[in-house]
Amino acid sequence: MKFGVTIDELIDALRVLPGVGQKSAQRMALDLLERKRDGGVRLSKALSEAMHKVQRCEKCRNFTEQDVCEICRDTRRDDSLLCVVESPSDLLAIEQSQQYAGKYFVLGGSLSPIDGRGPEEIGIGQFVSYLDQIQVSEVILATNPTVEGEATAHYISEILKNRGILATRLAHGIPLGGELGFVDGGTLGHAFSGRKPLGDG
Amino acid sequence: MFEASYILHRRPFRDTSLLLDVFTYQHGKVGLVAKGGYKAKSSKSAILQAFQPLLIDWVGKSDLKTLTQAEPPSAQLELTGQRQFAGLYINELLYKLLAPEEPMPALFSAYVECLSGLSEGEDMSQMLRDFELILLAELGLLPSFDIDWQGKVIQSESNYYLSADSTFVLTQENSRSYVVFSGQDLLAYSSRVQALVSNKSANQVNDLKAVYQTLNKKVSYMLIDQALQGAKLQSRELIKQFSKYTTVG
Repeated sequence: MKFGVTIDELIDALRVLPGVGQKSAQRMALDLLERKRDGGVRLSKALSEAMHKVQRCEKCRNFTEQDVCEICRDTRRDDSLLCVVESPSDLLAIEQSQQYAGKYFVLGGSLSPIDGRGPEEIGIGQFVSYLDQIQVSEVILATNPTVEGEATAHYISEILKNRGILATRLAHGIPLGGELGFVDGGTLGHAFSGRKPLGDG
Repeated sequence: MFEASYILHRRPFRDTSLLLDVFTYQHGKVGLVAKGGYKAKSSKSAILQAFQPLLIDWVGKSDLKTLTQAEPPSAQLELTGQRQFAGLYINELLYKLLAPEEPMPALFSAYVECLSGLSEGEDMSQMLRDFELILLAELGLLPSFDIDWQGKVIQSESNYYLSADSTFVLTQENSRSYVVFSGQDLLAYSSRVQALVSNKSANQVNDLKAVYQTLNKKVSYMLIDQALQGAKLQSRELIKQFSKYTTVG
């Protein structure tokens, strides 16, 4: 348009980022060119390296630079526990909570017929062949508490049932520091049905 | 003005919003955007889900309207086990077959009845077949089961196949290339279908015998496939592949 092909291409390319439209892309591009040339070069290098080097872990499908990711290689982790999540960002959230020390399997989303995501698309086939290779005593289904996430959890739990592996589901409940008055009925219902006796242990 | 509705499908939109396809009582299928519905702490996200009875209001005149209010009059219908896939299936049917903003109040009632039947443990295939028939009837795609392609009354001792333009055509041979229906079955089926469709209610006709159920499945699958014009139903694939994975090989 006004600056030339190269800048237009840069602006257009920046729009691939989530939440970035024409206006923000313009601002980013001009800012990089005007003030942050070093940062821009670093960004382009980092982007290109990440895009070429990062792949899916052969075992758990998490992102990794090697064939097998760090979590799968970690011998201190409990091999008998497997946690199934919908995406790498869910894995990250669980890792940051530091509450879990087992292994993972990362699906490619949840089952959603309308979006065209069936069992093959989200990697159930790979999950089943992974199950054949390992010995687990419990699989924790940590898919999202949405209709699609629940359907996915059920789908996998049936596969596990046939193999005699214990399937557990993450509990749903009231957020810490929350107030009952603001919690929706569905969540409250789950919190009630999953209540625990006080004072054990 | 609040309108009774159910969400057929939702997907994230921009950073914090949701794009919804909603089946409403008076306006049929409506496309809505729920601003801020996808924020981490939004309680909207919890109620804006499929199978959750909702009272909603929206503004806007374009194809994509803006959700302004959403309230749950009662708890989400709980579909357990396989019934979740049945729920996803009827949602996919409506999502793919309904034209936008065409009022379908009778179908809405049948949908509600089907969902509550599914959540209350009624016979799953019966609920689905009945819903399919009412859907087809409401879309004007249900052929007459007592009149053949030439406008003649179906003969109970003859055989027929279902043609591409949804009429029953007389056939002599027992070909393998298409499903053959006996005139006798069709006639008996016809009276049941009429009872079901005129009542517009899935629960009224509970006495379909096994033979009609099979016929039912065949007929509605064929008609639905025709209505979809080559598009595949993913939820049907899902159920097919289910048995593949759950049998240890």
